Parts: sequence; C-alpha cells; structure tokens
Amino acid sequence: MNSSRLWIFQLTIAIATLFPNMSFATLGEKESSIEVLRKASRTERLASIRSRRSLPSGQPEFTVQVLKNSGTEIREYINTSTGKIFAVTWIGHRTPPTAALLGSYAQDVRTLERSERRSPQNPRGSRTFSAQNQRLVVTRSGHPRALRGKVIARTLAPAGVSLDEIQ
Amino acid sequence: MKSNNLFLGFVFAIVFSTSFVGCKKDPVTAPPSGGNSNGGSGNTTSTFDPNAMNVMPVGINHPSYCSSGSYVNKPCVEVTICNVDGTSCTTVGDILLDTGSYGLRIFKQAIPGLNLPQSSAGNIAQCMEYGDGSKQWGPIKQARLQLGKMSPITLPVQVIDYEFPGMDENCGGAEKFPGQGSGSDFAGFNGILGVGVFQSDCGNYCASNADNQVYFRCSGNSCQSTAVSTQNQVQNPIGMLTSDNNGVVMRLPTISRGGKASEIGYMIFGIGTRPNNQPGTVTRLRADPNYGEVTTVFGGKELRSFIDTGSNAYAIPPTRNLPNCDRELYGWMCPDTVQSLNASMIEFGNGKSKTVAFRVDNFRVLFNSGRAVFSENAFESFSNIEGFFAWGLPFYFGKLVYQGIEGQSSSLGSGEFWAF
Repeated sequence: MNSSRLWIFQLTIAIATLFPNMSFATLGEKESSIEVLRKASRTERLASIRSRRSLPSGQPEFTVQVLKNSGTEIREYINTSTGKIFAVTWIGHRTPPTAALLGSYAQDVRTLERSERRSPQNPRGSRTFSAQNQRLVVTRSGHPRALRGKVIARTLAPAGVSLDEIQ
Repeated sequence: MKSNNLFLGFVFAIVFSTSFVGCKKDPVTAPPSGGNSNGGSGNTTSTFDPNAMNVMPVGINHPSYCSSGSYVNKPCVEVTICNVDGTSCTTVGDILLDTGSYGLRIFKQAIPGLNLPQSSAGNIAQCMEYGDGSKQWGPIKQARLQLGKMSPITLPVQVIDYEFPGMDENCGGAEKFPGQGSGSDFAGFNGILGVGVFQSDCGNYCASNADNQVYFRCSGNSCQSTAVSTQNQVQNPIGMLTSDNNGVVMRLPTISRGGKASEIGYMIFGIGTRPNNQPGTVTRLRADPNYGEVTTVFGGKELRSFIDTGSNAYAIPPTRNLPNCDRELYGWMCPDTVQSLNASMIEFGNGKSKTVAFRVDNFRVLFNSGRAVFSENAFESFSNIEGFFAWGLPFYFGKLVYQGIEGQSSSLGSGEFWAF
C-alpha cells in the first residue's frame, strides 16, 4: 500500500471509529467503502449476490452486498461499470441512520418525503410511501418491527436495470 | 470487528436541541361516543349483538369516531385513559385501530388533564417508526386504559410529545400534532391503538440490545439508547385484559363496489371465550415470531406479507395490469378496469396456506368520488427480491378475521397467528 492510499485508509478507519453506527457504505459512493467500513464497525456481511444479467465482459451488471447492522438487514446495490452504490434497501426494527446510508442524497430524500408523503392530494395513512423525482425513487413500507425502505439513485443505476433481476 | 472502536459510540451522545418552528394547533376534540350500529353483513350471523360486553365499535371514517378530513380507509376507536389511580379520566376518539403495531400511543395534546407517572423502567422515551417513515417521539408512561366495556387495565403507553427533551437525532421529523393538517407534522389521528400479534412493541431486540435506537433512557436534556425488558416496553392491551385476552376478532362489514362514505364495524375481544367469538371453519396461519408476518404468493413470487388494519390499502408489487396512477397519486394503482386477482397466504414454517380473492380498481376514480371507505384500492409495493405484499384494511371487509397473540392460546392454537 503506498503512502497516500494508506493515509486514505487510515482516515477512513478514523471516520469509522468516530461514527461506529455509520458502518455501511453510502449511496453514490464506491463499493470499496463497504469493506473498509464494515471491518471497522458492528456490521456483518451476510451474503453477496450477483445480478442475473451480465455485461459483455461477462461480469454481472451489478452486485448486491447483504449486511446486518443492529437488527436491520441492509442491501447495497453496486453498479459494476462504475463501482458505485446505486441503490440501498433495508428491513428491520429501524431505519438505518440516514446520514450514513444516503450521504449526499439524504437531504434530497428528506425533502421528497416531506413534500410528497402528506400532500393533501395524496391520501395518507398507508403504511407504504412512494415518491420519485428525476434523481431518486424512494419507497418505504412495513410496520413496527419490520420497517422496509428502498432508495434508488436513478442516474447511477445500470441502464434499463430492474431490481427484479437478482438471483 | 474492532472492539476498541465501541466506546467511541458515545460520540452519539451529542444531543440535538431541536427547535421547531410552526404554529400549535388545538387538539382535535374527541368525537362523541355512540354512533348508530348499522354494521354490515359480511359472512356474519344475524344474532350478533353489538352491545355485548366484549365488543367495541370501530368507526371507519365515521364522524362519530374519526375526525373530519380523515384519510381514506381509517378505522377509528375511542378509548378511555385515566391516571393510574383512576382520579381523572378522558375519553379520546380518533384513535387509529392498528393490527400492525403493538400498544397504545397517544398525543400529549389529547390528554391535557391527565398526570401519568413514569413506568417502572424510569425515565424512558421512545422513537417509534412506522412503515411510511413517519415517527413518534415521547416518554413511556403508566396509564389506566379502558377498552369498551372491558375492565380497566394499567400498562405502559407512549405519550407522543415531540417537545419531550432529548429527542434522538434519528427521530428528526417526528410528528408534532394530532389530527388533520397539511404537511408531515400532523399525524392524522389522536393516537394509535396497536392490537397486533405481539405482546410488546419491540420484543427481545430491545430487551437484549442496548443500541436498539428505539428505546432511550433520559436524564435532563439527554437521552441514550437503552435496553428495556419486554414487560416494560409499550404493551399490547389485548393480552393484558382481565378476561377475553387470548386474541381479537375483527368484524368489519362488506363494502360495495365504488366505496362508501363511512361504516361501522366491531372488534370482539377473545377467541372462543363467549358465544360471539367462537371460530367456525377457519384456516389458521401462524405468523413468524420475528416480524409477525406470513408469506404471500402473488404472480408466481413468494413475498413477505403482513395483515394490517393500519394500512389503508393492499400493497402489491407492480404488475402489467396494475399501472401506477402517477402524478398527484403517485404510488397508488390505477388499472383501466377493475382487476380480479388471487394470492395465497402461507403460514410461517411452510405449513397451511389459503387462497384469497381480491379486486383492485382505479384509485383515481375511487378517490375522486369523494367517498372514503374502499375495498378495492391498492398501493404499489417493492418489486425486488425483498418485495412484499400488505393485506391492508380492504382485506378485512366482509369477513371475520381472528388474530392470536404472543403468549396466549385458544382453540385455534397458541402464539401469533391469523385465522379466517
């Protein structure tokens, strides 16, 4: 490891050390952050899943890292072409800390949820919430003890991808 | 895992003193009790007595039980809540009846005359989160609660109070006001009565894990995540009743196509304890002990699923004949013509299954009718590997749905289940 990479590694460890709950990688960031942060925190990796569709190179179109953090299972979808996380989903007792999970998208998601969830025209009360804009699709559902969420960064997803295409 | 990192979790002790801007609104006045009992038919018998001791009326968008301007398919009850010594009581309506959550949560504004003590766990607060991302913050208190004509019980409840000091950062956006109003600060009700399949609202996860981020121990203006025993968590009142406490039966009327303005149904306490709650020929489906859910097979896919009066629609993975309404009704389903569909529920452990027929109609047409109670409305759920199916309030219309509770048993079996 050269010194600059070592420095980045140490910085990342330091950040992970300061924020041990922020133990998964962030929407829009590189896959490599998953492993570094995972090792430095209370998140275990449960599985890794490959997309059914492949690129011309034979690599999967995207991969999914399945993680567990404090009673919540988190899935991070990584676009093979860019190495970036283009979607996150979760199920469990609580929504993972959104600052860590959604990074630069967190404020966008919050704004979208506030503007859409309970607009007078959208009859609230459903245990399900969906909203979208040009950058994001946000869906939530479930009930206490089993809360679910999904956030897709549309511009980062592989072209034409459907999340159904998971083995 | 590097254990030397763990102590630095106290970085999270930073308390965000939240200063909310916004106007206060008077609490919604509790609707008067009563209401006519023109309950529907369904597969129910003509001898049903709505005034029986173990029967509690449920108003679905009914003006005697729900505040005006309520969202569609809202089942409301009224409860009487008292100081633990019974010195002062308030009857509060516009309480959402919810088989998808566990225990009573009530807005501080709805019980202004009461003085409820801390629970035996001490100064504990909670951030309760719901499926749509809405949250409620506030302390856990002991209260005396009366449901219908049943004997009062004393149990831990959550008092919803966004001003309670020490709100956790991740509870930001918690609801502030009961009743109706524009924006996410308004809950749309005075409280939630959770009568689902679990006895406590967080179970072993919160009892054994101090970092659960659901329960918090508070001191002064600071609250820290803490473990809370299952008995000291917010309790489902059903299992604590002094009789008829082994489950509930939901008896909601049939809703004709196109919907109705309002309806009255009933919650019956107990299973097989009295003539009015004897199960006939039903299929009992066990729920899984972790999430309280069953599996639903729909469109060839196996989906996790829950049965829930607090969901005001079916939630179904997108399929070709069920397009999204888009625009102002994004997420709702708007088929060109009404769709007749089937799905099978499979109990936990891959035991028994039961096929259920249901219909989905164009929600824009339904909604624009101005009616409020629908049996054929659906919302889009996930389509991916974690896809799910929600059997919301429309599922309950026109049938008797028996529900067992963790730790209880009846002629239908023990623990968490649904039967219909």
